Amino acid sequence: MNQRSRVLWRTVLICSLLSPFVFFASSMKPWKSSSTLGLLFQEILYPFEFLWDATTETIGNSISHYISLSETAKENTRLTSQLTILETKLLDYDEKLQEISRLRKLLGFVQLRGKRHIVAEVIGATNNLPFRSIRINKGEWDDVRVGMPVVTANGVVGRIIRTGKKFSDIHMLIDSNFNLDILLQRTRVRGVLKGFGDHSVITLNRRAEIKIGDTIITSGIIGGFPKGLPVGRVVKISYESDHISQSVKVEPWVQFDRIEEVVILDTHDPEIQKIIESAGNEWISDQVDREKG
Amino acid sequence: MSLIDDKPLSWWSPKNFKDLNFGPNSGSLTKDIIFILVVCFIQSVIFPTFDLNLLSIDIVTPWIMITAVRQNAAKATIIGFIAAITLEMHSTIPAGLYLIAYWIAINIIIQIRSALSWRHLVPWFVTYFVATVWLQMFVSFVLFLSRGPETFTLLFWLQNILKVASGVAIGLYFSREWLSIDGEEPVPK
Repeated sequence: MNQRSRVLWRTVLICSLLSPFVFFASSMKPWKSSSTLGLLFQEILYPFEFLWDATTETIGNSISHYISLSETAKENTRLTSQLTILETKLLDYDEKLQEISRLRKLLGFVQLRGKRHIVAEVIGATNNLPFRSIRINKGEWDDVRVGMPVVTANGVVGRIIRTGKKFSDIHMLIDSNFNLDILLQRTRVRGVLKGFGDHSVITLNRRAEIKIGDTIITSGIIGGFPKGLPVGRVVKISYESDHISQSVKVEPWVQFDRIEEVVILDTHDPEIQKIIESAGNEWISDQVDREKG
Repeated sequence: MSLIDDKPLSWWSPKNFKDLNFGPNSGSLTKDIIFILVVCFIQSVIFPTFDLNLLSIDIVTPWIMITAVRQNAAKATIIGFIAAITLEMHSTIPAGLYLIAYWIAINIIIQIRSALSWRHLVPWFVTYFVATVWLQMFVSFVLFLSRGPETFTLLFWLQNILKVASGVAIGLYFSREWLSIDGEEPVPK
């Protein structure tokens, strides 16, 4: 290494040693992208990821199918009787559905059924404990966009954070950078839910009425999620040392380790999306805090 | 020459695989980029398939450390950058976390590599150990800042210990060719 390049690489070294300060000064959010250039290496690797997922799934299914074959006859009998019960219940539900539909029309609610939704399969996940994410097999070519809400039959999963041509990454509800505007179903108290590794946390005023087992639902006010989607249930309440607020631990309804399919809701609000993309997710919590005074 | 000798080898033959020279320093930048993508793929796609929380094996860090010792500075930086961006884009890690951690590690090795004899076990061992510990400590510090000490569960520490141990073990396995008495000096002149 000659003198000139030595000086150059020492300068680079100093720059790299100073780079953590730039990093800590940033918002420390994950990459959000839908550009092909930004996701170039992911686009290259995706076909192999898809192939790997398909292969492992086929092998896994074959094994489980073979093992479960002996149980099929028993299961069939059990399911037939269950089906009879469910068909009876269905008649009752149809009636109730019509009633709900009438009430919603009366109240002027926007019906979720009217919205378009995209069903996607989970093809990969990272098990890196603090920063877990899920990859699904639908992307830009399927009209998936950054910011779209993702749910399962059990409740909220997260939001689309990156979109490739044929894949997307989900920012999960339990991620520390995830914020969601919520309502306590019983008392209608509003708050902002924050991810915390394997659960979520809401900080509320100490006077807010809340108890263990309370259900948390989406408020539908901001962030693209329709109102009333189940999020989780309260499992622990602890008072903060400031004697003003209480910290509420929420266990999500969705079991993130066992998700196989998800539904992406096209409740996309382009105006809000633009604001979120430029101002960051913190903007939501700031707005809520401001509103609470 | 017999007819058997003239028969062309199929592309999957062991000889062809050996000729591929799969390793952290294949001699061609294009190959090195493909290999680092393969390594990132193994770490971020194949390992999580096994659905074991404790199965956290770090193969990217030792791979990059060998690259930093073996390659010229610009190539090592490019490969480190590609690895970091690929890992970051596959998870919800704060943007720049791996980029910075790997950039610093690569630059420090580039500065000190010519002063060490890499035909001994100790420099390799210390490099892998310090690099993996540095990466895990940096991630832990970021977590501490963003979430507080509650994140540091037993599972989290076990994952980190396994990552360090696997990083060192895999690194030493890759660098075995330079540890022999007649092995070539790995640092480029």
